Amino acid sequence: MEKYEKLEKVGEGTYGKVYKAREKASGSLVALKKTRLEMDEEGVPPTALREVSLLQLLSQSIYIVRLLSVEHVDKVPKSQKSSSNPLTKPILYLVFEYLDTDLKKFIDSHRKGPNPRPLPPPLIQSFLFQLCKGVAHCHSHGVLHRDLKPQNLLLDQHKGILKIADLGLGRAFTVPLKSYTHEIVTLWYRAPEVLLGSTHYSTGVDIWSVGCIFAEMVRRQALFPGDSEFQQLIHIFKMLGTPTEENWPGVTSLRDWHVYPRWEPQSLAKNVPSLGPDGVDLLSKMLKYNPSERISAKAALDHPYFDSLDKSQF
Amino acid sequence: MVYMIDRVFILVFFYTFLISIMSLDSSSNHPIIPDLYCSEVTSEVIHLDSDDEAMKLNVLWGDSDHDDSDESILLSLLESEHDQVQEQTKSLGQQLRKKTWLINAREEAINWILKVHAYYSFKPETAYLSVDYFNRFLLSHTLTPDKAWPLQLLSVACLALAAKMEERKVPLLLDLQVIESRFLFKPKTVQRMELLVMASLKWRLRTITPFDFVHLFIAKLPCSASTWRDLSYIVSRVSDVIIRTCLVMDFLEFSPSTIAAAALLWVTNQCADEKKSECFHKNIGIEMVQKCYKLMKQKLIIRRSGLYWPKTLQLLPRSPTCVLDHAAAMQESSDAHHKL
Repeated sequence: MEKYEKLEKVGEGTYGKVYKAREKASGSLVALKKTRLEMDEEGVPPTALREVSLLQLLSQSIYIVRLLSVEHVDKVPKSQKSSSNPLTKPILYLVFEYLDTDLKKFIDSHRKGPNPRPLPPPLIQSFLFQLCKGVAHCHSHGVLHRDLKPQNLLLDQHKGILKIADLGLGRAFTVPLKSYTHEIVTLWYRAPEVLLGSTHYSTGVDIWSVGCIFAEMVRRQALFPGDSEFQQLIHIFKMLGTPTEENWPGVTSLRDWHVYPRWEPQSLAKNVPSLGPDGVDLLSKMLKYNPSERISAKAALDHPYFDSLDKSQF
Repeated sequence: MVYMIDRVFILVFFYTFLISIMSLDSSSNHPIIPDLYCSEVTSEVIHLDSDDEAMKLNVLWGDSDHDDSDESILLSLLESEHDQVQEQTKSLGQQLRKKTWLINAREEAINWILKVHAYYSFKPETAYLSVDYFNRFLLSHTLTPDKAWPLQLLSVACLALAAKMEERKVPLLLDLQVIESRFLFKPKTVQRMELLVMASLKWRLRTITPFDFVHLFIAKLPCSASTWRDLSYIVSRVSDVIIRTCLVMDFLEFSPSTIAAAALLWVTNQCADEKKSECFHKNIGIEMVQKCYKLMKQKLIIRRSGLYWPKTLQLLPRSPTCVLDHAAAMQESSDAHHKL
């Protein structure tokens, strides 16, 4: 860690603090994600293991944040430096490429502050395309992200680049689907099958999150801002209509299903009024109730919504 | 009655799914049209175990673009596997064979891993990954034959890492060592070994395993009327065979996809077709599958009695000698701490 100079703390990851730092030799900026290992009596945390190993697998894509190295240091507390047998504290640093902001901050800067304004449609197109590229890359390597949200999408504003970060909750999947932990994705971006207690879920949970993020870029506010699992479901049902066995076979058998008021679907277009018909169509395909009907990230890249996008730059 | 209708409904969909798969296999000239009204089908429906079984069928049916997505997943897996195999090389088996003591010690360590795996009912992937980490570590480190505790510590660390990668609930590090452990390592010590293992493996813990391929290959098998009923049985048997290959060093020269292909053919009692140049996919060589298949035939049968069986597992009752073992473990643990 001698080769890095810490500049400032910039945030908190899934399991530790994140610092902006400079590599002394090259002068380039990096992000250091810190994990104190002595806090955990059970060895290296699973979240760190998974993030590192999945990033090793995925970092070849430019739409996934690049992990530069992993540094393990044994820090000697100052109070013990003179001691003959210092009790060292093991710390793990993940060294990432540095990006100056994330999508949440970017959207907020367009909603509040001195100059509120919509995100330019071509920029939304570009960001969404890159997001779908990154998600398609994860899924093609058998990895679910499971915590896609604007805070986890890092931006290089000047170059217009978007990268997926924070795979601490990500995990590998194979066919057939397996039983996974229930409490995972941040509520606002959580797919209905997860909210209803399904532990057999797959790539569709990430697509649902992408749809919510897409709408949020257009609206500059969250599409389904629930503050409890129940409220989250109510938000979804009020807009998309309460799901039925007709539009989502098997829904009434899910563990946490019970009788809900029967809401009719609202017009999705009215909730994203500045989005054109192609965009509304793509969004509706991302927000299908039945996970097997949800569009895949790969298929989304071919959707007409992106026809006017110059894809040669990607 | 509603229950029965639901079962038949699922059955109809599954047959439709199977028939659509058969239509893609030009070598199949005899599609099977199920008679849903005969007594055999009725009795088979009754044999469905539980909602979990129905869930599996639903899951299979639910993937509407099954063929395309499966093929692209398979191709990605094979490409990742190729990169992985380049790194690991075939030299591990050769290097290990030069050290007679290590062959026995390795087998003992892996047997221990498999016992703990069975005790906690971990997934098959967890067992396979544990052994994968173990093997890859041995490839890059020299261990002295006079001490037994380093291999035991390595076993604990590799099992812990695999469980953290794959299992939803991971036992405490001390609890992982409850079964027939001659040494008991403190969590701090295991952590240090974990870090050493990960550094050796370059933190590459998400590796392709034969289990990634099994269901994709099953979807390519020629269909028969009883296939749907045997699906979970086939998967269970294939998993068992794959885990057993961990104990035999000769399997180290085969790629995960080759092991998966050979294990599946073995379980379904088929021979690799001599006339075809590929097996399940054009990137999987038939020669290697045949070689692996033959090795399974020789090694897994001959050594069947020597392999670990869950039924024979008997927990040793705690005895006064545990105190002595614990004291020895503490001493060794202290030594381990200094050396690491």
